[in-house]
Amino acid sequence: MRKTIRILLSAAAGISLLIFFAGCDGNDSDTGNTGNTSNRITQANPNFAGKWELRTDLSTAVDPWRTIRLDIDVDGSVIDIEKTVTTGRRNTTENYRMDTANEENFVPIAVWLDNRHIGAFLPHNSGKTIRADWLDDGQTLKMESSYTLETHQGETPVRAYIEYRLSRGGDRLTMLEIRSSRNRPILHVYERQQ
Amino acid sequence: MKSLFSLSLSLMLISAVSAMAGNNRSYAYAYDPEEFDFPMYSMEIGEGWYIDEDIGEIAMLLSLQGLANKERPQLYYVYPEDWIWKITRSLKAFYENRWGFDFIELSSPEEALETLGHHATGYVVWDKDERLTLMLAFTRAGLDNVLVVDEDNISRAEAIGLEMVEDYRGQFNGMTDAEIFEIAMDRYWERSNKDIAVWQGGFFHSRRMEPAIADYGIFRGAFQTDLSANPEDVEEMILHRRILEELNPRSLIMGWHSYSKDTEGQHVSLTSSYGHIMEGLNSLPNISFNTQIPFTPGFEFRNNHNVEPDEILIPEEKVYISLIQTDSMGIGAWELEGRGEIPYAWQPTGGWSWLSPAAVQYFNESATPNDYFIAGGLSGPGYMYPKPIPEEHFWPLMEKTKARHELLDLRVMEIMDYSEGNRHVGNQDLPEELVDRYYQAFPDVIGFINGYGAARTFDNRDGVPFISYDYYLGLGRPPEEVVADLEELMRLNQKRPYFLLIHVRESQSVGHVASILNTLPDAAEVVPLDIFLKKAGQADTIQRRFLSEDDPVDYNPY
Repeated sequence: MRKTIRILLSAAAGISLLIFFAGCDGNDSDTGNTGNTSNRITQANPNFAGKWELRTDLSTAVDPWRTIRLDIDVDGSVIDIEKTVTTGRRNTTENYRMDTANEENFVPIAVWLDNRHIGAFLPHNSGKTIRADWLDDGQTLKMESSYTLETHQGETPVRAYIEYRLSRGGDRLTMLEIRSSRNRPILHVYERQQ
Repeated sequence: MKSLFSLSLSLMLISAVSAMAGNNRSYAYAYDPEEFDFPMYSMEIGEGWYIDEDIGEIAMLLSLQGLANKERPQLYYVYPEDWIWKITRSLKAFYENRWGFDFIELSSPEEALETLGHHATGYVVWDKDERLTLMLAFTRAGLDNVLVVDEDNISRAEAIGLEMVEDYRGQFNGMTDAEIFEIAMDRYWERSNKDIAVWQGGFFHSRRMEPAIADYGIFRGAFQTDLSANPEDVEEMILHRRILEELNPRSLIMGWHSYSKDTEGQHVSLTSSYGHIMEGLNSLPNISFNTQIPFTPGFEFRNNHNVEPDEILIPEEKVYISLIQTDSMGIGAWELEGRGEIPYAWQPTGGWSWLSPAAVQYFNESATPNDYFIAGGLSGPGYMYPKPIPEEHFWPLMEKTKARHELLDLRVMEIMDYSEGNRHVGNQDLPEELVDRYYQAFPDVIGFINGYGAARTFDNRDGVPFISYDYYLGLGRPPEEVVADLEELMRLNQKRPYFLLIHVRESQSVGHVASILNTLPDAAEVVPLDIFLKKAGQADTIQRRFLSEDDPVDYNPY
């Protein structure tokens, strides 16, 4: 019985989040963003630029990594997110270079860092296809990502919906991710580093 | 009856002595168990494992243990509750209950020295300002039967009439590690045992030493060091390679690497590339005592098999989960709550069948029906990585491993390879040619396990699967994220049956893991590993995959 209630609660939470994200997706009356490419905000918000460090105490567990650092550059419609995961003396970096003027961006990635505990890997010479958009007057970066993961049963397509939300004061960056393969959303809270 | 008992003991001894004569390496059963009528001593060993704390006293006691046990097994230490190896108290109770040993408790270092100090011929002083001199002192102790003291313990040594034979204080100031070990090798390497070497690694920039294996190094007359396996440490690597080259083939490397110098992956890769056998850790206690106590008469290791070797089990369309705890049994959850609640596989370190037979017997006799034993080592007869092992060493090493399998009634072989990566980066996979060799070397196993973290080498030949871990259950992973991880795997692997193999990191208790698994969907069934493998062997939902040239490689530089 407890298990059933837990499953129902999880499902309800997931559906609420999806409805919430759907509301944000391309039909935000406050920003006037309709989702039409011609009306898209293409200029990146320069306030995203800078170095950010994960607040692990406010975030979903990121183990086996101990922390995550973001180094973000913006230039016109282009945003570069350099994401470095570290544990002890080990660190690995992946670069997300996205142009919001493009319908899609292909980001080559060698190793899938999003969950190193599970037997899922990116195929060779692959990466993530990402559509990036600015929402909420440029306060939110939305990323819709699709890619393929290899498991021991073969290849499986995966979708991920991601938002990076900048706080009003500009010193906190909150990342929310819903992945089609995962039943729990992921929350990362970053603080700006001087 | 008594004559039968004596005969069996005699045969055991003859076989052990023959083994010793054959390769001059096995000290197991070196003492006649019929003569265990001499006094045996035990003592609580304390805290203070930092160079700048009380390690001087502990180092002295470790050297005393090695020297005293050279004569016969007579000094056993009980380690602190938080020591990484959890079984010193349980094993003492085992010795008392199963062997009838009546240990005499020693209450202080002074009493220990008064009682057993006569086994030392003098003392050597190590320099607290240069911690490597402790390794030199341990080496010297094994070669010349001297007690190891720092300046704070000289008076204790002299109080029992010992005289100084060497004083390292001030001799090595300002020297690099390579320079110090070069001098050590000039002085001691030629006389050191060529069947074994000991690595005394450390933590926290080497401030914390846990040299519990020192007693065994002294017992065997081994060279003790912490030379780096990091290619950037060129000078140390030259000496490190010289030791590995000059050891006898397939020698024993005991202890552990230094975290401040290199990585586990680098160290074991280098050791394996010479075909030597690693047995960890530097913190492993009481081996000079344990190795001399055989199995009790008549004991045979019996595994809890749930299926016959030639039995065929057809899987249903569901998720099968099986759990393995490696990292050696004495470290992990064996002593923690919940064992026996769910099926679990454990890896008794194969080398312990002669390094610590009583521990192996203790594990076996305290097993529940849900405890299943696998693999007498990792990749070979100890801890090794197969990719760097030269093929001329591979086959004799696997013969040795098979002998352990027979002794310990094991039917599952486990492999791990961190030579091109680890659970964070690179790969942990094997090329097809190496998988071929394992199938050839172990025709009687019911399955192979690969990995440490999740890996992706998979095969299935005549119903014998080769399966990599699909999940690494880490120490600090929150339970709700573990459940989400496992559900994610079940969504990514949509065909049924799906075989989800989990590696549980050492100190997660079985009760904790069982409580997590209880929240999974009902369609997932936790099964014993032998049933898991037998059913996987009949499934067509596992894709064959081997290491490919395009897979990521990382030589563990950090």
